[in-house]
Amino acid sequence: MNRFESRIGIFVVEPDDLKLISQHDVLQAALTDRLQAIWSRKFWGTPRDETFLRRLDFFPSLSESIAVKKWSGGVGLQPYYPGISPGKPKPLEPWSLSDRFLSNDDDFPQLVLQDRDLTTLEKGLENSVHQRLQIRASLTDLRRKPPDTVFKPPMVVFSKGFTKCAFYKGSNGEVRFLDGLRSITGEKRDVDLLRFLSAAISSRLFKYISFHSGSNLGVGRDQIHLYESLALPFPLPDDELASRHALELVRETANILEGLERNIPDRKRLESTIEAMKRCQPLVEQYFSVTDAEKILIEDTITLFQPSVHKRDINADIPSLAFPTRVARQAYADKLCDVLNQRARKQKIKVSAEARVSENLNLVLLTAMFTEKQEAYTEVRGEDALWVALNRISKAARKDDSMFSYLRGFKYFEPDRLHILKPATMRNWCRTAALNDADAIFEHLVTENA
Amino acid sequence: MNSKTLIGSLEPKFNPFGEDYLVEILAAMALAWARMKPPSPNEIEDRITERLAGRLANDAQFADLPYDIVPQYWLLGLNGERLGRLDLRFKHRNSRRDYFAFEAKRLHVTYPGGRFSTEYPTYAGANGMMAFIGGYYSKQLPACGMLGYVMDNKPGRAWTGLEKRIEARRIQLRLITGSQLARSTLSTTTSSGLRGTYLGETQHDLGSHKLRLFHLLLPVMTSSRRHK
Repeated sequence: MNRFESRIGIFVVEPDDLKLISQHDVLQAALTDRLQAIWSRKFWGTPRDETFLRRLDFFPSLSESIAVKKWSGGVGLQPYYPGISPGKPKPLEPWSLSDRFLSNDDDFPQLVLQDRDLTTLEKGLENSVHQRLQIRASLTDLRRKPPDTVFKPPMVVFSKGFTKCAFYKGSNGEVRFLDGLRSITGEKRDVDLLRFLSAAISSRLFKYISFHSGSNLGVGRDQIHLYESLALPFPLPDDELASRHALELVRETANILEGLERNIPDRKRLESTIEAMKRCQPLVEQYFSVTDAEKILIEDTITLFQPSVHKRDINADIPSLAFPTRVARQAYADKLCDVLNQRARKQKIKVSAEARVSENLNLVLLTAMFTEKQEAYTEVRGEDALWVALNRISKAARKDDSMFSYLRGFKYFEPDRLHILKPATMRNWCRTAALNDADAIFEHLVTENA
Repeated sequence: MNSKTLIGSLEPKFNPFGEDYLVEILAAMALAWARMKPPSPNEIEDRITERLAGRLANDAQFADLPYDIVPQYWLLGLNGERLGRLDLRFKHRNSRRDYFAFEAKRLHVTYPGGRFSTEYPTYAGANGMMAFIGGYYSKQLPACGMLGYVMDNKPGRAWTGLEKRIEARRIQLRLITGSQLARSTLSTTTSSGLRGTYLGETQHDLGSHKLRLFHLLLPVMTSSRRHK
């Protein structure tokens, strides 16, 4: 629903909401064992996103790299609730209630885990209360008791939705945790790589990939399945697709995390962690050879699309449906012209853009001009008669079908210009939209030439 | 925005783009080959092609082109039955319409037992060039390409051998009168700086349309020779 129709209960379907999946693509995906990805990537993914994700598919997966490195790890323990938990309980012994324990709560430390973040298994189990029946967990038995290799540092511990992730170097034996967390554990010789993995999982890139690739994250619960997290790309530094500077990038990232492992005072810890995460982002992106255009896709997904999912309040601000500001409109226009001008073979023809905006009608009309002189982006006030006509066209192009209203907009070429009319929502006028629109315009014009 | 929803047209003099962007694809392909870890003598064709596709997809210059690469692309019948498998398919990124395709073959192969084979007949045969000539692989494509991985790094010899083989089968291959394996007009751009890469093309009359078939011979060099 857009911000105008939400109160009257009409679902507004914008042109880019309609995704085509050919029978061939479904069969091809089935034959190459990628059937789930074809659906989940269509929910929010634009053609540009799909290409980016397909590029990353060429990298070895995290599970392949884990196998090469002979790393271990897995899902944490499950408490046993007497009288409720099914199956035969497993005795807690020879584990001890004094074993160290990592809570999966709001205070979960990001990026790096320190000894001061740990409590005891006894406290962890005491705090585990069956949500519905208010029954306390047993202190002598467990429902699920994974092997010690799952809890043995050095390790990376992360939550199901990748919202929490930290590296723990450790030296004093195992650290237990509940099944809301998962670990990847390795040998001491791999500590730097595990530190880098922690930074990668915490990165915007991984949030982007899991948002578009997970079967739940973009549409339902805030989690991704174990098999999905293990399918995420993670080339080792010696992989032929890894960056040529992979080893240096791993070392540099590890240095940043090592800085956090030192005993930073509590009052400065959050600030230091945020700063470290900021410094790690470009290193992780460089490791995965993320291009400038792909950085735009990540940025828009994290700031526009992801926060637009799961709104409890229908009147809450939905970033993807917000009215595009002057700055956003110019960013769209500049990116569109930039991509088209880069691909031009006739260097004397330059693409410039001007726009007309109507807040009343919730429309933006952008005109891309193909001329010999490149002009800076401008906005002009459209004549009233023009808006009346555009409103009529917009309504005529709209198809109402009971609860659904299909918006269409238009893109129309004149001899030296292209007019693009679209609803004034950020999803239509963000830089990701500009990248995709440039591809569509390019394809149309090249096909026309041929 | 879908390219199919665009209406009207620009006057040709204002259209800044070319007729096709095959040269960019071919150049990117040759460059990806040069940057790729050289195949081992016994590496199978599918594995080489998969690695080449990965290298190409991860090339920053190719990422600027609005095409998508699909390795091991299954050709399916109306009921989903498998008709064949194309080694590399290029699609328009936005509409996902087909744009270009490659079939790959190894040349000058020494098999584990020590037997040497030029593989020219395979290259020009039913699962090579003929797959495009038969129409299935080239359906709706105005241009396609053959990739020849020259396993002994003797592309000049492979070129001469293929020239003869293609000439000997010109009727089956439906070569247009006067057409033969010749250096492509695109070859200067494509092979500049890429030692040992040969780019040629042949023209074929398929009845329904004329097919432009490129031939890109990629020499397998050892790492030490590449760095000289």
